[in-house]
Amino acid sequence: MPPMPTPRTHGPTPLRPFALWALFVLTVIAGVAIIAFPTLYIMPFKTQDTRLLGWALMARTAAPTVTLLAAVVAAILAVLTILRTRRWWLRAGALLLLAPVVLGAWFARQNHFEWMFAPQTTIAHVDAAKATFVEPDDLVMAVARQGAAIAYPIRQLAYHHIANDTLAGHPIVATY
Amino acid sequence: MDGTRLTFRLAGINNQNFIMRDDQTGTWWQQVSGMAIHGPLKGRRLQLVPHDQVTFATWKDEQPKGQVLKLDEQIAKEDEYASADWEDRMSTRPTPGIGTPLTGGLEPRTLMIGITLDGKSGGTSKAWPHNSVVASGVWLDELGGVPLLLVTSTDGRSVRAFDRRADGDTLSFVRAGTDAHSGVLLDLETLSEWDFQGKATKGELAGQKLARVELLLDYWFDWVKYNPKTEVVKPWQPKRKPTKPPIPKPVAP
Repeated sequence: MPPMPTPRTHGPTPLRPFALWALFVLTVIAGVAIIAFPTLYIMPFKTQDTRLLGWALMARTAAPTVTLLAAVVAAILAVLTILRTRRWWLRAGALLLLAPVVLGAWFARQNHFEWMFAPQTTIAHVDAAKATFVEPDDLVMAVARQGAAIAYPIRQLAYHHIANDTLAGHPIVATY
Repeated sequence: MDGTRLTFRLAGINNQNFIMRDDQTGTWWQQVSGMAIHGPLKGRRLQLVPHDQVTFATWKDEQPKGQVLKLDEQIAKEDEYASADWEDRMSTRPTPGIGTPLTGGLEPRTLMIGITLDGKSGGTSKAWPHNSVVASGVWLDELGGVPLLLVTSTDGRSVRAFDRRADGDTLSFVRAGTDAHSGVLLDLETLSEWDFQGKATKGELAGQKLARVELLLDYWFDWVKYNPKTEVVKPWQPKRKPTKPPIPKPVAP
């Protein structure tokens, strides 16, 4: 009678090292791709296709959740990898692989368009007579309603692009 | 929108027309159309507030008690605001590839005056080169059965559009004198004088007011993308003289 195999004492179904690494790499790729695709696709002076743009916006909407999940899973896999090996370069590799997905989870929570064009911190107005910062020949975008009138100097809006404002009690958004 | 006050942030770009996102619902909106293109409010549209794009001097004359958006001190200090020649610099930037070939023989970055009117059979659109209209001072036209007047202000830069019907009559306008911008705006039917607000100030029609027509200043590539069926007025080009006069065929006696 052959001897009984010794029962394993640790972990019920331990992952093989290859499977562990494959899962780790795939998690990182997914976490990075969901933020890299919309970021690289939605860029100024580039052409966007309607369908691809829809996907990019879908990816951007899902990115905060997906990248967070990917970062958590990747972190667990990194810890497992580090615990299972004694080779320092494999441990360093696990940390290096974890870095981009953590960065992605952070970036998914940023609005990098507002890094380029900071929103105006406070929307305030001055009387037309006191607006010495506008030249007579400068163009303004003007709205009027129920006796109220607001002018948005184009040179200011060309930077901020957006002003969330109120005209005669009605919420409006001025865009350029 | 539906009783909720939305606040918008710059959040992307679609073929050089920006995309904004609201903080409240996370919906993505196209700037030029005010249309929700993705997210919970997809398909909804923001109501357009009538607006005017004129020089500060012209606006201040008409709205001496108006309010002006203040500078953001931090941005002003960092000198990030667009320079006065901003439009000129933008005109040299590349344009996105457009699926349909650009018709009209216009450069993609030609600044156009675009008008869309809602008609019985859907909207009709037309676009005029801004430069041509400004050079003319007064431009009479028609769109979807509505006679239009495009008029340049005495500042030589601001343009407004009006429905040129008063009391049921269609009027024809000219600027009297030799200058396209400073001459008095007259209608040829009654010789009444009109101002840049579309009001008759002197003459038989004094007190009458023309109805304003909304216009949008937009680059040709962007206008034609959102108004693919638009009519277009091409800038006037002198006709080239034929290099050789055609030789008349000898006629048999």
